[in-house]
Amino acid sequence: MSVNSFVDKNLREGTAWIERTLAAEAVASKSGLLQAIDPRAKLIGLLAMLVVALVTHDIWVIVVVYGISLALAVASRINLAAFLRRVWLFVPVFTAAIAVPALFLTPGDRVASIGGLAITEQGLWGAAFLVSRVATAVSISTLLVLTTKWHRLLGALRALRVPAFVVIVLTMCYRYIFVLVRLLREFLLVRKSRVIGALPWRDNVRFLARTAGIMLIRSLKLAEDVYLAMIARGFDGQIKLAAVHPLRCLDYGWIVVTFGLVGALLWKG
Amino acid sequence: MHIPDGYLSPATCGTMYAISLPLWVRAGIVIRKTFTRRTVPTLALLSAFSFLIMMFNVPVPGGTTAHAVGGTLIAILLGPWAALIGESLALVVQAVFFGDGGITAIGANCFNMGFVLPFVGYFVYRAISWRSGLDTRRRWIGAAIGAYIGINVAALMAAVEFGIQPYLFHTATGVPLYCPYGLAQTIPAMLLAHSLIAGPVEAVITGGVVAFLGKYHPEMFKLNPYERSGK
Repeated sequence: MSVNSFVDKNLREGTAWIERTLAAEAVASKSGLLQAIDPRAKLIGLLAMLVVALVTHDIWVIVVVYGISLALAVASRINLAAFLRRVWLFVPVFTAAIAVPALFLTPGDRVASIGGLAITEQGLWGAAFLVSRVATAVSISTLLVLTTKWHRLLGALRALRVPAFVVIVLTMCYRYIFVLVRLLREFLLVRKSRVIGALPWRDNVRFLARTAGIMLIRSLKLAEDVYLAMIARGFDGQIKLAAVHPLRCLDYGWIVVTFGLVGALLWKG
Repeated sequence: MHIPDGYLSPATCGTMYAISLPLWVRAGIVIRKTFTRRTVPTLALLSAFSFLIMMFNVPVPGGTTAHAVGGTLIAILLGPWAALIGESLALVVQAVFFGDGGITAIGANCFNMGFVLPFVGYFVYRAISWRSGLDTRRRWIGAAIGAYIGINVAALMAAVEFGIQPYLFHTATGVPLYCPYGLAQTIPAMLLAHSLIAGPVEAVITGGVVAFLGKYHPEMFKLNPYERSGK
């Protein structure tokens, strides 16, 4: 392994992750279709689309849902090239690698052969189902993530009857992930700046184990600090969340349209 | 081992949610008793820590890197129910807020990585390290073996969930609708990957952290309610 390459890789990926999250926040601030819809209505509508793409036995239904997700991306002023890249570059490449052997391994009617290996019709369709479903599902969850500010998404979860206790823990968890990522980056940078040349694998692992142990101690210390701060602000063990706004015409319209579409697709497929 | 959307049928996903729900409820009850009013911040930070562990690249001899899960480690230090909650919330945050991992597969992922992994890992660790001192070899070796077995049993669960798809969900002509591979393919594939790469990574990290904390911060083990009561 080259000089500390795993430290570099972690620093690089950590930075890319923060940038991606910030870019998503910027998209969520634009004035587009999905950004204007209340997160509760949006969550229900997008979940209905997701379920239809997963339930159907008709590949054309999946294609239509995928097409709708692209149209929604455009209507929400998401850069289409970036959207496609995000969807097709990450998960489906991995899925495609998994789907390729299925072309040959699925028993069924032979349609072609490559180098003596038979491709079956069933294998072809099976692979198409897997890739199209995964791509569509990733598109839909990407739409949700890109067009919704995280605190509003949490509010939506509360409105959808997720227990207040869970919502408040998720809120804090999200907040402190960034604090811990920053802390970890500092650990890695400090380490990088003190090492010249390659270290044996054993030393790298020892460093990692100690970092993980210290991170856990710091996490729990931080939890104690947060708890004391909560007490200071008047926390008495009761969780109270702000009231939610009523849904507007646009939100109801969105629910009616998505459910109408989903119903039509289910009936057709 | 993160199962994305599209690999499992909605029926399987629903079943896995139904199996996970009572586990979450039970974990919630145990956790409230353990941490009393500190529950909220402790679980939040614990989940954030789990998230971080899953994000982190660990070097593998030969040049590549792999990710750890960390479930057994949290189970050893804070108890298996805390691990279930920490891992589950981290998986929810990943899927819902960052778009990584499936939303419909959260139930299955939480069952595999949040329940099976830490519980199996923890009980193997307890069996091996029974009545040993905190900074003894038996402790960290038990932790490493527990983590290794835990992640492999969890991978086996995922393989079974994948592998039953083509038998249960296919069209009249035999087109698989979800994961196209049967048990004869998924089990060897998952176990090979996890016994050779992910398992050793999990074992080394878990064993390493337990050895380090046992030597320098033995007070960390007192947070586990089972460790405290000597059960």
